[in-house]
Amino acid sequence: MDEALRQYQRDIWKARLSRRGFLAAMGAAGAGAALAACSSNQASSAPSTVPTVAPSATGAASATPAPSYVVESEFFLFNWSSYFSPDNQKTFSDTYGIKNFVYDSYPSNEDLLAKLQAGGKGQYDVAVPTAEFVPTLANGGFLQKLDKSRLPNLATINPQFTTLPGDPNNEYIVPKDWGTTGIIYRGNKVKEPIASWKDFWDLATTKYSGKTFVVDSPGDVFVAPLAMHGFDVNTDKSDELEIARQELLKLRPHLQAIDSDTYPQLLQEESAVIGLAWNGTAYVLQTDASGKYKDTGYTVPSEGTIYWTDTWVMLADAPHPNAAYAFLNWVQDPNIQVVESLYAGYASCNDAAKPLLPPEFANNPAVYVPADQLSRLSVSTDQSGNQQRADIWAEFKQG
Amino acid sequence: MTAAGDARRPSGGGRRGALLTGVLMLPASFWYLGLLIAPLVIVVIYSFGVRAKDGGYAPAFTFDNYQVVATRFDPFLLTLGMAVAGTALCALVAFPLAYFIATRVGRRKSLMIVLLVVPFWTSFLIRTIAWLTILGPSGIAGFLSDVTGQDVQILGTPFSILLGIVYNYLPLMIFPLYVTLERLDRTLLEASKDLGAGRWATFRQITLPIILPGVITGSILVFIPLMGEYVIPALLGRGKVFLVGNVLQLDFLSSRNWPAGSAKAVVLILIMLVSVSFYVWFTNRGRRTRDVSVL
Repeated sequence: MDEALRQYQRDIWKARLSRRGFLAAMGAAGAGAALAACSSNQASSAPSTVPTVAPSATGAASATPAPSYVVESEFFLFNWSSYFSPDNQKTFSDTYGIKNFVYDSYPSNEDLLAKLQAGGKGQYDVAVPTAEFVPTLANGGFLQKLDKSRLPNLATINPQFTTLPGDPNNEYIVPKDWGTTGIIYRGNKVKEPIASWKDFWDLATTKYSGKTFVVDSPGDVFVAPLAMHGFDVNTDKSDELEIARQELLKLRPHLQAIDSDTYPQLLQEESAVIGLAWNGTAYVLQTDASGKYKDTGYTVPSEGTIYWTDTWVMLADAPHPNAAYAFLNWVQDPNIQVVESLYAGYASCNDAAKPLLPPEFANNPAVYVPADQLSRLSVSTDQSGNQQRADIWAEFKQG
Repeated sequence: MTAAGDARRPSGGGRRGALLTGVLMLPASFWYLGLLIAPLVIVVIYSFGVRAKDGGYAPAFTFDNYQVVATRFDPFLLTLGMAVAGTALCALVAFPLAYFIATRVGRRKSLMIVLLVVPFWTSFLIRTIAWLTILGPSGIAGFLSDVTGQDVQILGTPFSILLGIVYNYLPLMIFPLYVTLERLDRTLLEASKDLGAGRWATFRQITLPIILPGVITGSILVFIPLMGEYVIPALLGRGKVFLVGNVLQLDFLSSRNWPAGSAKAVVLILIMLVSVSFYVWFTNRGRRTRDVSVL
């Protein structure tokens, strides 16, 4: 099979890394499987884009004491595709005697909501929404409040993630992992220093006109013009959004793509060399087995940006509540978190896990935001109901 | 035909016949009522509502959603243009191929049909993604850039979308054309030739009127799904070509504004109804006049 097609196959496997992508919404897992079937020799190596640096303590769940309650023999997980380590799945099943571990997947938060609304309530124990989506789910009556006394491992969660606006009193969520929206670029082409959204805008509209992309996600793209002008990234003020609109329309003619799915390819083939995207892609490109994209850089812009947090939640009417509690507590065991982080390629929310991670992972600015830049981050809140934003985005897409 | 049916119906068995008819019609009735009419009614009702606080639908009675459609009509026009151009291109490409298979291949017809179907065993998504490589910088665009010394871009242009459309929808046009062409009575063509008609006259006066139903069927099969197309613009359009399908996706998924999306869906359905009705009326009118001219 030709190299380009192999590349697509690898990239489709990585679709989870552009979590909000549209290919994921089209069932990329199935597509990936179909491609894998075309070349069985590639199938085994394709998913291993995340380095398999197994920590010495792999599978050691001994740090978590056995629960005092009887765990059911079944556990039903509802999650994004390829977003939970198969090794961990085996460890959990072995540790707690789970005979039937069901892993069903959905492509977007909206699909999760739609499936719960369509009668999915009571069919799953645990799901994985993004934090900003938790209020919508909670208001719909789809979530259970957590009994913290049964979750001692939450003690080492970074407090930043227990006071998220989506769940300020931390009643519902167990943080899973987190990431940022920023500027990604190919260092072999982009020699100018990239420190800010302003740099991005200046270069995108001049030297790298036609070589720039943004992700197809209004919640992320709005951040840049708003932060650049010093506005609150979650603003709903009409005059501020109007300024953002003008900046976006100024950028629009210079874009190579508005794309959440195939942008890793754009960077690989250098049809785009700079873009507004999520940090996970930078890590994937840097660690690509071919070694050809090590020059990929990622910047958390100085004017500020947003971070998102994916969270484990327990669903209302969970059929196996004890297994769910056992899972939510066990998954925050630092050793389990290490396996989880290396598998997903995203930063763990658990402070105890970070020292156990390989330094090239824990100190990679594309994974963990450097300590002196943490103040640049703010939480994104759900702005999907803002009509002005929706109108501006439609105008931007239309060009 | 109905007279024959009536004649065959045994006297006194009317009720049983009606019952049987009712039972046999059940699946179709359920299909149309439950899966077509009911959702349509819901969409129309939703289109007058407002977005609920957490997204979705909240009851109301407002025309706001339709007013927004009026101010943002460009995607509808672009979609209509793309759909018309795509359908016409499909017909242009499909006709010679269908003609070839129907008349020139002989016993290998089934093989040719199978060959046409085989690509459809692969996922639509993968076939479209494959075009990214073919048209991209490591494919044709890269080659043209090297040859001309200029930066040639194919992806992200209306051309790449039309190409994706023709590639993906072509079989929907070929099969109806093939079926009508296969039934084409060759002796009519010979008669036309004997009577002194040239190739073009024969095509216009014999072939075209006979295959017209196939053209109409194929055009509708291609045109209607094209009006809702959103995968091809997202991939081959690099997300920069904004069709109604993409507008609907934004409204329903990104904004979770079901009423706004419903209003646009209703407008889209109306546009399709009007354009397809006009098309069928126009082509049938043409056929009738031709029939008269033959007489």
